[in-house]
Amino acid sequence: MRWRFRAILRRALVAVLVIVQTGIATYYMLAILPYHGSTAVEKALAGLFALLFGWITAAFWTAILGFVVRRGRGGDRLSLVRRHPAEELATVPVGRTAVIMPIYHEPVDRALAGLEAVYRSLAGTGELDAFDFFILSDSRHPLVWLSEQQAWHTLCERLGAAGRLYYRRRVANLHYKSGNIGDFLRRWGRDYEYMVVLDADSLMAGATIVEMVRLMALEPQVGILQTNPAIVNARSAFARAQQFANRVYGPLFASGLAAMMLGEAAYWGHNAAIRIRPFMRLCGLPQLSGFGLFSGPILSHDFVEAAYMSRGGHEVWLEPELGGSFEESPPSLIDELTRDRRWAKGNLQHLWLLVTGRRFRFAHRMTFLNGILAYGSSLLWLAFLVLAAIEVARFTLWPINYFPSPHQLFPLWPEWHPEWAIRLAGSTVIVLVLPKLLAMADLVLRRRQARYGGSRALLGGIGLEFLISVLLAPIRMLAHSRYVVESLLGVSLSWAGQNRSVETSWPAAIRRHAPGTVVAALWGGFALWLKPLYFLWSLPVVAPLVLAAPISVLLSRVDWGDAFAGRGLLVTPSDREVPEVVEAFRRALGSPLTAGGRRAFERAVVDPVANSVHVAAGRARRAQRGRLRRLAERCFEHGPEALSRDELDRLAQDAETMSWLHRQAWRSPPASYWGRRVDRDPVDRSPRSDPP
Amino acid sequence: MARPAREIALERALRYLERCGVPPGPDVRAELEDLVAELSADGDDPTPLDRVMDRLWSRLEACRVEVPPTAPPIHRTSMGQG
Repeated sequence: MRWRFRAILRRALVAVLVIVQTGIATYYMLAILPYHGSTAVEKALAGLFALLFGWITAAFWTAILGFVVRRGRGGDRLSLVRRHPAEELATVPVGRTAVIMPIYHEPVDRALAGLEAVYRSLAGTGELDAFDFFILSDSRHPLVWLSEQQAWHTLCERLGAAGRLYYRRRVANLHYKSGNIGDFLRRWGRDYEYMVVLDADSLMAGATIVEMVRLMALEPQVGILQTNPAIVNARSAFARAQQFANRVYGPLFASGLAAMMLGEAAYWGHNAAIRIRPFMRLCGLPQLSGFGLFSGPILSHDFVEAAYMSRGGHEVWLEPELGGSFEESPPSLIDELTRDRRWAKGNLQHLWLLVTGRRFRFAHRMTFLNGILAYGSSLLWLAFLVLAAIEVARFTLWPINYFPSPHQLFPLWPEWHPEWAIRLAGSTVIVLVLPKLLAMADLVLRRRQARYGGSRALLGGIGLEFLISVLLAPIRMLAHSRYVVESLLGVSLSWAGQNRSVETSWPAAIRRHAPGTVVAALWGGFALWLKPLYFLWSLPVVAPLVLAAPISVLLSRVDWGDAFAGRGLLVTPSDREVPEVVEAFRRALGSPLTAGGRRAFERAVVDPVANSVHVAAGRARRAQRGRLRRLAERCFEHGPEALSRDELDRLAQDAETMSWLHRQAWRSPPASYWGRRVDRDPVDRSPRSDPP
Repeated sequence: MARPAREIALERALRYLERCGVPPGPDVRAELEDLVAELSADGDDPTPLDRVMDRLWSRLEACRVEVPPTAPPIHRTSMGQG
């Protein structure tokens, strides 16, 4: 437990540095304010500034710690991976492991191509026999889950994975992803020692998975082992910027975070290995017993599961040195914001656990707070901007108040020091930029700059990424503020799958960003009318908000991403040397598994093989027999378009009806709806690549 | 001009077998032609499609697809909370 003492020391050091730096900056802020914090508005401004500056300073010192740790020989000597040499690991038997991929309305070909790549990679290690694979679907739309079932069967054929690759769809998808995984564990958890959780966009090298399982076998106190996934496959300019940031700065922040947390790290919900027995004993999630947002199922489950695991005496490690772990970035700002809406709500729920949760370790409480502030800080920033506007308006429009405090003996002369404000703004920029430059220094010192196109391209990429993040920051701030308020007010939201490829259209961008653009234009006009200098100070926030729609559209463009890469900007190592598992994924994506769209239903009816799969996986619903038969007759006569989504869903779930429809379709005359489908060229469902 | 019912039935049966993974070789074709002729001769129905398909499903093993197990045997257990 030597690590626990070191962790406390490291956290204390970072805390002291954050507090001191924040204290100094806040002192400067008070000096800058005209009444030096004597009025209520200025007190609130100073308080918000301290919180926000402390927030970015914490990230700054985490990166500095990461840099220091990475400069040591071989990385952090307290890390888990450094405890066991490769020769020792190679002798450890690999325990029974389930590789699970929970999915919900995901692009089927993309998700299963990822699973295929992981499967093939694991087969390449020679340890495949220790692994089973589960596609755990929560999809509700019949066209989606029919596609999933067909793709699963084709993948089984392609990989020769019958009896090793399974597909389970929940009929009632209670409690979202955590409920999905819980359902898997309650049915099959006893059969496995470990599980590796993948997201629909996850990729993990077989060697990494085997190494993780072996590490866990040697360290029985470890409950969760989390990797730091690298972003790959970015095409749009937006995704390229995220990928570049993730690859260049990510290791620094992740190393710093891992060095501070050590065995009390966070679990991020995917690309991680979990010891099943303690997870099942400790990590069943309760319903929140509060009010509004703080009642019902826990949405963001991963942080909570890590906290429960840790509370139960098991360690949770983040190991950035484990390579071979990948994920994808949302392709556009709108997709990121759609995802953030869910995450904001989930993270804010942790407020309840932070306040009422018992026996949580301090580190995990800090993880909750960090997650809350990831979105809450946007609302704080917005409040700071509004208060700053009030302060400027009061200073400009109202007569000067020489006695702002009651019982004041002497007059207070309000002062405005723009040069101090510039200095403070400059130091804030340094806090934001220095970690990026340190990340570059880390790469140069490791002689890795060539993988990023060389030092000049690296520096150019950092500049471009900084510009993009400056443009995006106010748009994210406004959107996140809205999500926080909506969450707290209990505005409901639907839990939807994620878009992973489509560019943003102009109408979609205008619809999405119009409210922010109007607010920002009014704000800018007000600032200009009030004071030209204040208008200039507001520009970095106002301008991106006014231009949000074009920013959103242009950054979602793949040709912009390609153009940047063509000029050597935002280039990452995976552009030049594609990791094997990523290459396998791209190959798999080139051989799609599904017919796609409405054809999934037609294929389920017409294709003898697909129909057999659906009939075998379907259920017998004797109670609704008459109703189902009427639906089937309507479908037979007019085609699936004549049925609603729910009716189609009911029909597709019933084995007997699907079998009846199949036979009726093949008996139908050539000119009928189904006759035309039957006589169309068959879908090529032959396995297009060899089994591993 | 409408195709003869026998031809439609034969084409449909061949197509079905093809989708089951049975290549439409000369032997298969000959067997199906016999089947269609037999069912067309002894039935009152001018379109033997129904009967050809029914016979196909009842006679041909090739159309019985072996579906891999969707899940391993369930060993139900519960989860604890903390």
